[in-house]
Amino acid sequence: MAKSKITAIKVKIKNDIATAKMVFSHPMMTYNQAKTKTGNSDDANFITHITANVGEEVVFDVSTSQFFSKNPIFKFQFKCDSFKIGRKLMGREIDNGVVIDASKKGDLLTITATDRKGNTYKKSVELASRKKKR
Amino acid sequence: MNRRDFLSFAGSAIALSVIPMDLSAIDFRKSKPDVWTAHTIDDATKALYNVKDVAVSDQIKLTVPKINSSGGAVPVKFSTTLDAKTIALFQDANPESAVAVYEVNKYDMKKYEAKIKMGTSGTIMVLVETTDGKIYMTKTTTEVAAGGCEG
Repeated sequence: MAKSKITAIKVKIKNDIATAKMVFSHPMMTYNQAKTKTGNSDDANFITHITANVGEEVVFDVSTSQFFSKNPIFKFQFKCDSFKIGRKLMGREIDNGVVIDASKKGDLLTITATDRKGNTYKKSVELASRKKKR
Repeated sequence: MNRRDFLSFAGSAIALSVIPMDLSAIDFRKSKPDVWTAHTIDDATKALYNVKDVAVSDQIKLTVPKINSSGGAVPVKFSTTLDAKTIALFQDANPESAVAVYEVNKYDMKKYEAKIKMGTSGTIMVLVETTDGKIYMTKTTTEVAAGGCEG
């Protein structure tokens, strides 16, 4: 079985609103599924809490259950006008080795998730936008 | 119950900024365990908000397909323009009713999407607790061609 993790976080920024999509790789095994599979419902494991923050500011917080789909995807939106938004490089720029100066990089959106067995998953992505006026 | 009492009730689940890993605010799984074992929407509502007979609000939007070929991944979209403090997602198609409880923050646009399991056709309900302590809801039904708890 593949190791559980936050597979990806994608953020789109428009009109000072960030839309974030996070994809997990996690079995989200219910008590019933565990009972059927191993005979022991205590083998159930599913994500129980997810928090997203930018610096110390919480932008998303949810307590969750066994009833989210396997390999769950969550989408949420938050106001990002008070955060630093970096510039997303175009493919051509990346190919040409253009690098954004660290001081111009956007704030990080960090996702922290916990599951029933106490495993913690964490992943960050820079808040960045292609547009000059975000 | 004002917010300070509510937060102190949550006790040890509250994040301390000195511990960077744990930035969550209220972990409703710890602070309200009965919500997650409730078998009906009414029981989950009672356990979370201590109310029953919740009024409908047209300021909560909930979109779910009418028919789903599989109950393993029913797409749910919901949002609210109410001044929300917490938002709950419940259903009556699984052994327990509580799917999620969102805690709203000042940046939150209160617009969410996710995919949930539905063991049978049934009702999905979104409840909103406003900052002045009122509870509202909206609900919809959805059909599932094949049950979703087999994974």
